[in-house]
Amino acid sequence: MTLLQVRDLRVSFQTGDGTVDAVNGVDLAVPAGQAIAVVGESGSGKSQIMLAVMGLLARNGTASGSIRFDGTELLGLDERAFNRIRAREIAMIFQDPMTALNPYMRISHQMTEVLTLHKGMSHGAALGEAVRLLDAMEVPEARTRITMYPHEFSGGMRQRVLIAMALLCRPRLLIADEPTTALDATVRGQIMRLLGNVKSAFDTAVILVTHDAGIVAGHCDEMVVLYGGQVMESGPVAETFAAPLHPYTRGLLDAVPRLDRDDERLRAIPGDPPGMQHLPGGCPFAARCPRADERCHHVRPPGVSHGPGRRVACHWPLGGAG
Amino acid sequence: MIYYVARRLAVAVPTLLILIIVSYVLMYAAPGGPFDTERTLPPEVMANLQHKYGLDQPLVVQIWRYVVSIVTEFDFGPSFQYTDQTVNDIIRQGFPVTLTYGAWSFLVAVLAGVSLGIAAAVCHNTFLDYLCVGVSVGAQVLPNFVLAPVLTLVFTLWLAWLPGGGWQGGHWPYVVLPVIALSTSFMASIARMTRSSMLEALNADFIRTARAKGLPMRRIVIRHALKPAMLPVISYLGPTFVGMITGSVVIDVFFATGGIGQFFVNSALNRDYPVIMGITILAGALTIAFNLVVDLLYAWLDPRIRY
Repeated sequence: MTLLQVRDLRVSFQTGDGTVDAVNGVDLAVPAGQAIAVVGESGSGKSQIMLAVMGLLARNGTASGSIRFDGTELLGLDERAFNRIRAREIAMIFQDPMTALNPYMRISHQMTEVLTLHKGMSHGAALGEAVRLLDAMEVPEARTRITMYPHEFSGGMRQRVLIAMALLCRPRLLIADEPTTALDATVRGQIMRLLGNVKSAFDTAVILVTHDAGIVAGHCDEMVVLYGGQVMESGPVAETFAAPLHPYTRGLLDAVPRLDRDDERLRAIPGDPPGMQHLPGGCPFAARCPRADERCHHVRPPGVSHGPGRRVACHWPLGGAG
Repeated sequence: MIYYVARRLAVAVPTLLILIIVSYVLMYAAPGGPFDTERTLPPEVMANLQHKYGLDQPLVVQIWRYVVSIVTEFDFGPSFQYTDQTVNDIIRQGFPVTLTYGAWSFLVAVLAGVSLGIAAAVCHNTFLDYLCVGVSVGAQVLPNFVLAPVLTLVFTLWLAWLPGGGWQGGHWPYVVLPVIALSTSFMASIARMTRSSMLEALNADFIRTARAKGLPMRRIVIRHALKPAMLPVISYLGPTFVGMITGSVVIDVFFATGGIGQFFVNSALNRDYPVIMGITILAGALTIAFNLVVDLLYAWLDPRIRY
């Protein structure tokens, strides 16, 4: 069953310098209970898709297309209705755990208010539930530490608190926007393991937004590769890793530093991502693509099916017609 | 915490002492004297007066005597101008007046200013926002020596609702116009500060978290954004409160309230040294006290600040 179905999503922002098109016709499907990864560089529009799903776009941003969650259209939902979806059905955790918690409130209060508001729980029951979730996220001495303020926790612990807080109402979808980017490398593995457990332990679908293709393997079922606010390629993680279809995916996977390669150099993709104000008419990746020809610069390649469960938007896909 | 307060109070003593010495020296250095009148006094009379009030002594001795009489007897000396009154009498009569209308003005300015600021920030870039900004800019540039006559013109002469002056022991009709006249520009500054700090607070990452939790906007503003938004405003409120309760010469003169603001300015014009000193010390002590209050409020509001 498809839990979240995004169709032809477009997000644009009115700025002083004109309109910025951050997301340009993205399709995305999240089956219930599955983990999908949304991979892309900074500025690929991946965070804006998630903010559109949560109804949290900046005031100057507008979204069009369709975002259906379990049959309900989320685009155009009013705040009151959206507040019944947020936290209860879809929860989100953000990139920087150092600033995502309110420094002026105790952890206990920040957690219990979710339950007292959405579930009508008493303060005592809510506190017990909050402690249980902190325990599940392996926060040591949760019962005593829950009364502390955020600044008394380390970054990794704060991210655990945020994950626990997001899971309080047992949402059916958890969106994790770069959950490990701001953390030390040693803590990243622990947070990824906890997030991996969420899917099975809480029966929650997970969208993992990341620019690091390296953390996707082993944690996600499907992956979607974004570039210039468009989907370049989507498909099961294992197949995509084994044989990427899009030249951009190949570049992205090659850029992940690996120890099993006899290669001292970091393989970066040459060039820079396009400015979102002046997107080229053709494939957004054409200017940096080794396989691009005249057509790529002028005609936007449509997303086409390419083997079971896989789609690619490229005139010259790898391992195929090219 | 108690240790911190004790230390701050201990530091207040030398601070006040320095305040006394500096003000005394500045006052002494200013040209003219308390007994300079249009009609020149005979030299003997002048010498007698100077001697009676100790003004013939060296500066150091004068300051020493002054400080000793304050410390031992809490005596701030006689007024040179109002010969039957001591400085203690003047403050005892005048300070309750300014404290009354000052405190009311403060309350009005804070309540109205903060509400206006929050409303403007929450409705950022809407008509309500522009209205709030417009009102507060207008109120801020309107000096109270213009506002006070306009208020009396409207409410006293035209509508005859409220008395245009006097105090009557602080009976409420006499308090209303001074409070409006004094609070308006402060209200405007507070509204503008609250608006900008609330806008900043609402842009914080943790507000996005709160919104992702599905909290209604009202709750987000009150529970999550108000504390950080009030911190910068509170640091402005400490000195502002002192400024308001130590009076305004415009209010005192225009509404004939008999507050100490008027005495303060008169004493400076008349070189009424003890009155100048007394009111300066009062304002200084209050400033020190309310800066401490602000710092304690900070620690109460922000758990990351501990003393």
